[in-house]
Amino acid sequence: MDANGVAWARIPSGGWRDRKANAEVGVGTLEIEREQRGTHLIVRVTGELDISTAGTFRGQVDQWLAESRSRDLLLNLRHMTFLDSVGLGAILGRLRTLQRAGGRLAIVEPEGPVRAILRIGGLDKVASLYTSERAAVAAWEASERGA
Amino acid sequence: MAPEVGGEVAVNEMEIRLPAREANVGVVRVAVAAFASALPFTLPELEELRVAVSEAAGNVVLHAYPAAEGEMVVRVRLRGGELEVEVEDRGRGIADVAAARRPEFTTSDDPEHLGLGFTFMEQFSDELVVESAPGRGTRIRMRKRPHGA
Repeated sequence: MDANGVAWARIPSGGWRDRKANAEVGVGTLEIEREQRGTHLIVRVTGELDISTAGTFRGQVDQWLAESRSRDLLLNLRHMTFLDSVGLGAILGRLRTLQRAGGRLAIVEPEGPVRAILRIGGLDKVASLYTSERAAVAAWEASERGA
Repeated sequence: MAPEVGGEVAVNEMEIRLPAREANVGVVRVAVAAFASALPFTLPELEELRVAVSEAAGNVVLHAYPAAEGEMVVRVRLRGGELEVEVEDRGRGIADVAAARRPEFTTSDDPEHLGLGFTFMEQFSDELVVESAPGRGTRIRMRKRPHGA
């Protein structure tokens, strides 16, 4: 356990993973988890990204990005169950932060009706959307090989 | 079976009064969506309703009471096969409603405030009426009908 009270777990891929659950982030509807896989930072969002959770999401992801060796962020929204304009703004804000640092944002799309909200909000026009983490990482690796 | 009055299905109504706090926005959208499920909305339509209601309640939290905590009142009516939602506050009001309804309009200096609240409310309801007077508050009324198969 580190100084912030976060439990760390080694995973077979050689990276590491930790999770901020409901009680830790002080809200009842959002859970975010990070995994550092090689040079790729993966953040998985479960639950509702809205006016009451966007601030927590923003602060935690920015901290993880600052700690990460990666300039690229893979945001897995597969299990996100709600998104409003404040949550959308928080995602776009992370995109701008990454772009300023020369990094990239890839998004694994949510399932169900939330996917439509994301597209109506125009996220598909400014970020790369994928159906799985594997597809997103493969696209990154292909572009790195081609670079 | 809904009670009938004079051969017509009676109006079903609900009113919620809550402090205008971030955590209560989720309470409002869950309550309204549960109320709305008496109509044959599809899941995507209910999702649209949840977003529209969240935007209306979220605007109260973000903008209505800059100095102290105030109250938001949410009234929901089910009548004639459609849902009507009112979100009301007695806050500072909107000086220029037409400007506020334009996409990407925002009074916030936070670059992550997209100014899409009214755009989502408009897009995800069949009718949106905004009444506001500076210093007296704002009332947003949305109507939504089931369109799905």
